[in-house]
Amino acid sequence: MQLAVNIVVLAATYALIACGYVLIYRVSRVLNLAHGELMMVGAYLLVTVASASALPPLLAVGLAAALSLGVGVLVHLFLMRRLTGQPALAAVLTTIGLGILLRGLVVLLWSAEQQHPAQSLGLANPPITLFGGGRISTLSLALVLTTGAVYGGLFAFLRFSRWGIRMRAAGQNPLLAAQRGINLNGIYAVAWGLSTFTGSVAGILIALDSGLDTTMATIGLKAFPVALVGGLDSLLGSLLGALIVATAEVVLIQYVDPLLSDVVPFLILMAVLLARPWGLFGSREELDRV
Amino acid sequence: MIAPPLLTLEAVGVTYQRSIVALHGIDLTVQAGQIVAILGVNGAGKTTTLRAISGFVGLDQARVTGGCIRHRGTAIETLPPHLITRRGIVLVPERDKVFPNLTVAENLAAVVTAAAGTAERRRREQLVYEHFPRLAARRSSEAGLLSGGERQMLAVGAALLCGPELLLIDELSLGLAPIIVGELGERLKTIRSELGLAILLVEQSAAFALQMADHAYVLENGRVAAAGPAATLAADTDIQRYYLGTAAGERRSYRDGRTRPGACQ
Ligand SMILES: Nc1ncnc2c1ncn2[C@@H]1O[C@H](COP(=O)(O)OP(=O)(O)OP(=O)(O)O)[C@@H](O)[C@H]1O
Ligand SMILES: [Mg+2]
Repeated sequence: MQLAVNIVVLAATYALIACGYVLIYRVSRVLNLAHGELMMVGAYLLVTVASASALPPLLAVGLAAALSLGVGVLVHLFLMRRLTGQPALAAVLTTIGLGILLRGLVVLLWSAEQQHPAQSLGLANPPITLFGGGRISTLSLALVLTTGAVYGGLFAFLRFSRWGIRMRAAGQNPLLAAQRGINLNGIYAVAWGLSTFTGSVAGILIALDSGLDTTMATIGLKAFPVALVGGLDSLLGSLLGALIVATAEVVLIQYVDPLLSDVVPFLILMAVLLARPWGLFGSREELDRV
Repeated sequence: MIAPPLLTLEAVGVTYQRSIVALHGIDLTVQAGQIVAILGVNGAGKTTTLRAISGFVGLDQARVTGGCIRHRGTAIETLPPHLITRRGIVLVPERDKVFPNLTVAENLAAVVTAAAGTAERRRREQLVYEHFPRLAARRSSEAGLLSGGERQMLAVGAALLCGPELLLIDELSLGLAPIIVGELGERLKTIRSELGLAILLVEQSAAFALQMADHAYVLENGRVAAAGPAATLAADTDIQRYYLGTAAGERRSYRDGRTRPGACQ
């Protein structure tokens, strides 16, 4: 039972991070390799909000998440917008550069020391015993519920809202989208904002649960194979990818060697890419566009 | 003072990838409410002309290198496509004219009708479904699964939703059975007179285009080779022979390999 709980929590974490990769890729065909760093920045924003104000925890988290949405929009406005229409590779390399820059900035602004935003917010994290006998920390439960809400919201947004439909349209054919009156830069800014927002929510919840230092960016990078396994342009795929990777990781840590944890996602990624290069749910024809 | 024409191109040049010159100075005018046809063999620069008017994005590696494109007197050659669309100049492209993974209804929902209110938008949607009842029947199927004719209807419908005052249509007849082309053409004429649209029509099929249009231009190698009222061009056998390849006997300058000179002709 405890194993199942651990799997669900880890899967929820991966899924919440991975949907950010999917959002940006699906809308603009750009792999955002700075996603881990952006999610870390979101978590550090909580550190600042917590120390600079006496807001109740929930409001502080909300404010930090809202700020991170702004960060994502700014990244698009000041950086990625200049690359609209350039080859995808140029954009991907730019995100790598952005990631390195953000790591440096984080150390500069917040120091490399481990931070504990939960303490400064005075947030308790008591374990909850589930009916099957498994135990889950309050924050982990919050994370699982948040992931559910975010995915439900994203599915509904992309499927039913006019902006969501336009995002899908822009992902399929940006030129035609523009010719139908859609402002591509507006759409991309929304995608970057949402992606950074969801990533940061994950980062914030992880930081509240287990503290925060610059290794958080690595957690973000581990979710990248999850998105790729699912096919990069499919939310359903990243949900499934998260479940597969989390199951393998938890089981291998439990029964083989805890040190495997960092390589498992990448091993699974290789196995999947060998069999289905377009991922489990991705569309096959998208491949040559990467 | 006379009001400026709906659209004018003055000595417009376009270059692809910095070196391939596709247009060498095109002059063209469309008056409000007019149907104007652009004719020419493959590679003459017809599509490029429409794309220059509707706006390039960085992806195209194309640039207007000279001349001026004016909409009611305002230069528009540096505007991004979505702003040109919002001015009422709307393109129905030659290829990739619908979003294949979106349903018919979603294809229409994706259109931005910036200035129009909800009521106006609903009215236009109604109009599209009225004129193309086949689309209403296939409202929730993916556009990628539509037939060529239905896809063309959806593309025209989506363009109409943008609230055009000038519709740019690239190869209405491409890949469609003549009967469908005839139907679509009639439908377009009705819509045009209902809404008071101007249409700039690019066509391979000279007979169809000259029958639709008031005025026509013939392009060759990125230049205007002939221009005049459609009826005059239709009657001019030289033009028929040299530029449109419709006269019996020799067909010159079809470049796409489908009709090689000397092969079986
Ligand atoms: N993306 C591109 N990159 C480079 N050259 C291009 C590109 N698109 C078109 N061209 C060139 O520009 C010229 C004009 O092409 P255009 O597509 O405008 O012709 P067209 O008259 O529409 O032909 P068709 O009847 O075959 O559609 C051609 O010589 C073509 O090779
Ligand atoms: Mg063409």
